[in-house]
Amino acid sequence: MALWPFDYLEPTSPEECFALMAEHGSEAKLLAGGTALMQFLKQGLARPRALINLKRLPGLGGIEVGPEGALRLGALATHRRIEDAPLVRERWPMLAEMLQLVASPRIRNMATIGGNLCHGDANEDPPPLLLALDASVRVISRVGERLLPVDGLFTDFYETALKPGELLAEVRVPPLPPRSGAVYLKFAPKSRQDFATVGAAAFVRLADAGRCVELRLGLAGVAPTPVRARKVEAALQGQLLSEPLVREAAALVEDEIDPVGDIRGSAGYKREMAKLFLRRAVAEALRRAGAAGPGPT
Amino acid sequence: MSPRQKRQLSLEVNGEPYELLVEPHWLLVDVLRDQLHLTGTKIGCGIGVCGACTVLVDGQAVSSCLALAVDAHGKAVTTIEGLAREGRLHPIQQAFIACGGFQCGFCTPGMIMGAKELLDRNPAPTEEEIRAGLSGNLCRCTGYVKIIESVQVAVRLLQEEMAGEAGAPVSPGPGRHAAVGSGQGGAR
Amino acid sequence: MSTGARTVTAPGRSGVVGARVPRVDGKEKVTGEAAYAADIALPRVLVGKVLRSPYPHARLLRVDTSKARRVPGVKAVITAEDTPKIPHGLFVKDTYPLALERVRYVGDEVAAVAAAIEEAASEALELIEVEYEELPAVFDPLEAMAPGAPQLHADRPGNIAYQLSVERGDVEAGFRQAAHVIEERFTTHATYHAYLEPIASVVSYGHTGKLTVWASAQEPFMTQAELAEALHLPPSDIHFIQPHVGGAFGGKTMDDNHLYISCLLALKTRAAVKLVNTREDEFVASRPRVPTVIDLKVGFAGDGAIVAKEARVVSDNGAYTSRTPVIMRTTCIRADSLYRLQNLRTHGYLVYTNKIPTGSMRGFGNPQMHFALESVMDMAARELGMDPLALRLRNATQAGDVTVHGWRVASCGLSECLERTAAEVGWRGARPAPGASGTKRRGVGLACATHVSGRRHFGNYDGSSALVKVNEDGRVVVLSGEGDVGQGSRTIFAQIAAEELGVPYEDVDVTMADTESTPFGMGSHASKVTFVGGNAVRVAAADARRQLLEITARLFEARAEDLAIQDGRIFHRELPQRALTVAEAAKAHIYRQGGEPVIGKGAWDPPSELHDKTFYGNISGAYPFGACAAEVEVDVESGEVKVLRIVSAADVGRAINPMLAEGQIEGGVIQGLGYALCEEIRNEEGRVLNPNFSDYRIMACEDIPVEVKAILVEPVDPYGPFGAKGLGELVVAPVAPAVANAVAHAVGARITSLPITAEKLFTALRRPQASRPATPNR
Repeated sequence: MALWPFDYLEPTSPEECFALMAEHGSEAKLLAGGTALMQFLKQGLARPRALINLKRLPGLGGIEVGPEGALRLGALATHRRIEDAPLVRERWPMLAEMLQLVASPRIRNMATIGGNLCHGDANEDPPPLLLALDASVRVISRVGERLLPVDGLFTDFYETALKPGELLAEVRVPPLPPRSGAVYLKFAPKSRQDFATVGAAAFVRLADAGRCVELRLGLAGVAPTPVRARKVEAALQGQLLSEPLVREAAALVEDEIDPVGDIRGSAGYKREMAKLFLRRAVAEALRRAGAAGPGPT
Repeated sequence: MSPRQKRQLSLEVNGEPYELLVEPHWLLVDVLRDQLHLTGTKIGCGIGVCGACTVLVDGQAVSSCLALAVDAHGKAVTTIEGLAREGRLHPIQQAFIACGGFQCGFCTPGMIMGAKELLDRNPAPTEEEIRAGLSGNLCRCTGYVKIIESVQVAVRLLQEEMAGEAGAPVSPGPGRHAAVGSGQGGAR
Repeated sequence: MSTGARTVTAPGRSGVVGARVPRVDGKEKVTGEAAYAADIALPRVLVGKVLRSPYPHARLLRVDTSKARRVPGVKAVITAEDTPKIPHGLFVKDTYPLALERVRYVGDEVAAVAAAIEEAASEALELIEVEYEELPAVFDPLEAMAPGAPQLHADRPGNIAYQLSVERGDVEAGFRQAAHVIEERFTTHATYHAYLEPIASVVSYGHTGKLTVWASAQEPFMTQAELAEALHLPPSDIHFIQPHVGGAFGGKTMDDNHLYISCLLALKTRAAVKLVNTREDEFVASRPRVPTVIDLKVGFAGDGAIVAKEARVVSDNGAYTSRTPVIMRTTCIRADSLYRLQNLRTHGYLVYTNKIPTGSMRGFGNPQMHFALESVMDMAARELGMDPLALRLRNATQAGDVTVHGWRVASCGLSECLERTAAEVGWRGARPAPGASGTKRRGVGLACATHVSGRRHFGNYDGSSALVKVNEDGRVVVLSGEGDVGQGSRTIFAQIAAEELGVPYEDVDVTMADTESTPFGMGSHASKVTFVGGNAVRVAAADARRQLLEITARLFEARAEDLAIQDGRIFHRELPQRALTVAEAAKAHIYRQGGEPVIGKGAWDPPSELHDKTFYGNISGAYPFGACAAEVEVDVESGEVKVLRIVSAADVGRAINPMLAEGQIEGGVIQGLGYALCEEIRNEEGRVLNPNFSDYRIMACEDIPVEVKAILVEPVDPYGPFGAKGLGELVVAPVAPAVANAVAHAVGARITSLPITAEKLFTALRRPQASRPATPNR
């Protein structure tokens, strides 16, 4: 399955890259890990005149902790490098767990975290967890840079808030506070290699009294974009998270998702699974938060 | 279609340096198969799911059907043809023969390269780790049972080989069809 | 008990039959040296590509290839006008290599291109202008049978491609005796073979006037004959060489148009052409498993004896007819030999729809009926208050039986398979009670199956032939036209020849199939290669042995019957020091006045018969039996089914190579699980929604049960080579019903439509009263 011919551009500095992006505009596609882009090209979903390979750009592959304590993942860091990083395994273990559920080791060797987010696919695993963890992205362009919460990144079906000329440079994941827990649950009943029918992520932080003082929920596979379950969050905020309460609250997700029936399930089934796996994710995050204890201060 | 500009590609394949002229849209798998005639790397799905095109690039398993050849510039590629040394099969290859870890053989090169990366990263994987590690390589014939067994036997052979470097090497066996042992030996 | 005793019929001469020897093709396969069709490199080979219909049903008003032809590098653009317009099809000739006047499914081949490079071929494909006039289409076989439905083929009114009725005994009287009657509709779905090697071919044509064909085909000689007819060429002008084949499972019978098109392109360009399917080509235009609607009614006496069976089978043919008439017949008939039953009536209808034509896939229609019948057995056991294992044993066919369709069962390990499978899964005396923890429920289920080892369907011949050549250095070459698509036939043949000749296994090579040098064979189908092909090899090897003994007898001035061969040595039984090697004998035979090589020749046709007009007759030389048990865990909140453990026992007659036999079982069981749980070609208005491995999921390494156990049951068949029977297809059939029965055991819900997806079970679990089969006579 040969690709349609294109020009291949390999900028070695951000400035050069921005110049090429300006020159080629929408006729060029940015190439990072390429796992999603190549599939698009092969299926004829895109036929760009040029590919701009980002992999020769310096400084976009780091995995480190910033001065504010947040995890900083360079956009070109591959899933595999992130899941393998001792720093991630120790301090953001749910991130490593989630990444291990993405496709296969081979794809994770190639696919980058930045590419994953820019692809804007509502069925991918990383976005829900990054939503729940309140991650943000640093976006650079000729005119400077801006920080954008992941929560505002996804605008529509395969579309993001990135403007022409902007490049996603880094993903920032805040440090996990004491008495918090987070998890991503992937429901893919046909094969563990499959995309999720529904993916659900939860972040929960407890007050000393056991009440939930902070909670965010992210979902994959149930709307044109990855989404937060805000009504469910609101119903649980400040509450003691009992099983019946969580069950009742999870039902509220009904109004804020818009699943499409496809080969991974009907819309109705996805709604039911969204409720179920939100419920299970909250329970697991809660368990982890409780087990986490007061934590380091 | 207008004539397109070819680019210089320098890379190492199975330890040999190559200088090639390639077009930017050529895939690594096609360059390996059509330019270098290394047809052991197979095309099964074309979208990175089945793993038949698995090769190692700088030691990491990748789907060569999703990689542009130009992107391998300056890198070292290992294909299935690069595993046997001086006519002697790699222990993973020996184990696949001994255990019957293949039938039609079409997934086998990719499967073995996937197993190679797995064991390079983790020389003593649990069965669960083997299953997870090889899950990106589809096989339709074996049901995976004897593939898992093959990797377990490969672990043992590699350990014996490590120990054997001071002592006796693993014999490839006298028989023409044999991998290890006498030629009558299966895994159990 | 006659079954199951592990006996050896023939004294092992080299002891290699029954041994876990490594495969003959191991080294080439683990090193990447094994060449498959797409790996065949010829100088200046052109690249082929195919244009397909985007409409399920349309008239072709205009196909204009003029722009496409002008693309630099393009050597040919062909449509039906460039072909002999001879339709192909083994039973119903309704398939044109390129669509003639009409397209009947999304994927139907309209035109093809050959070009110097792939990019040019792709560009040309885009420049072919086709004007379609859409026609009404029909996608559901039951709707297609109804009056007023759009008609696909003018000469097949009512969209009926084929139908049959079969009746034995007195069905009405049988049902009158019944204490319980189970009646249910079962539906099965289209699944795809998913061999890892997509169909590929390289065809070379030049001034010799011969087409040389390397293709991923599973039946070299049958493919040669079918091509010859549709291309209007003498068969001998087609030289078919089988390269390594990357799995077939019935999907490489070349009933689809791929190979016709690559040959037509080669003929048109007078050049070499390579055509390689993309995976999407495979999903939209190969020949997937036949979806079937089965209305099944079975009556049981109070003691569990089956007293009557009535079935109506509607098989979805898709747009054209491959081997589906016989596949549907298999659905209708084959499972009837699993049990001792006398009264039955079956009507079968093969119906055209505007979808991908369907075809043979591992089991050839048999898994469909086994899903229905073996589900009914569990439903009946519940009604009867009997243990499902006991009910099956009560009815199980036994060795020596002549079944309702006249099949003579010479060996039968069915009861032993059932008992050993059940014991392995913890069914001691009775089935263990379902287990529960939290939102999970566990259950155990079993099912059994029967199949054939070859069958007399293609004229009154189901045989094979072989040559065994003893080289002057003592090495042996087996020539067989059966071929090997990955199952390991070459290894099995090497073992059989070594055993029969008395030479070391390592001294035997087996050639690839080649229509110009290997003798005739029907190829890989009907689980017959070991049984039929193996017998031919055995006969040929015995002939070579006879020659070697006679040569040596002359040299020794002894009687041939006083000589023997073992480990490559020919010796006098009473004077063992009088010996020479096979090499010495072969050499002495040729280097003399009037010398000749040692070539054993063998042919074998099984002791079966063509059935009569009512489909009565012993169609196969041997019948394998098997059983499968599954332990499942159901997540009652999501409907997800996890198979924790699966056990499969197969009566293989005798395992020539237990390692390979287990491999067949394990692979078949996992394919069966895919059929049961996760695989399905989904259509919408005739368009395949999941034409790739991302959206059509076959099981990955992580998805298989933690425990997969293969049990070999070896009753030794009197006709099999060293007692061996067929195996490959049998093991798929009982898996889906075993899983369905386990699910019913775990949660009470009976799923009657495959696959048992999480959603389907979730819905069933929420249906009030869904958990129990209704009254017996519903």
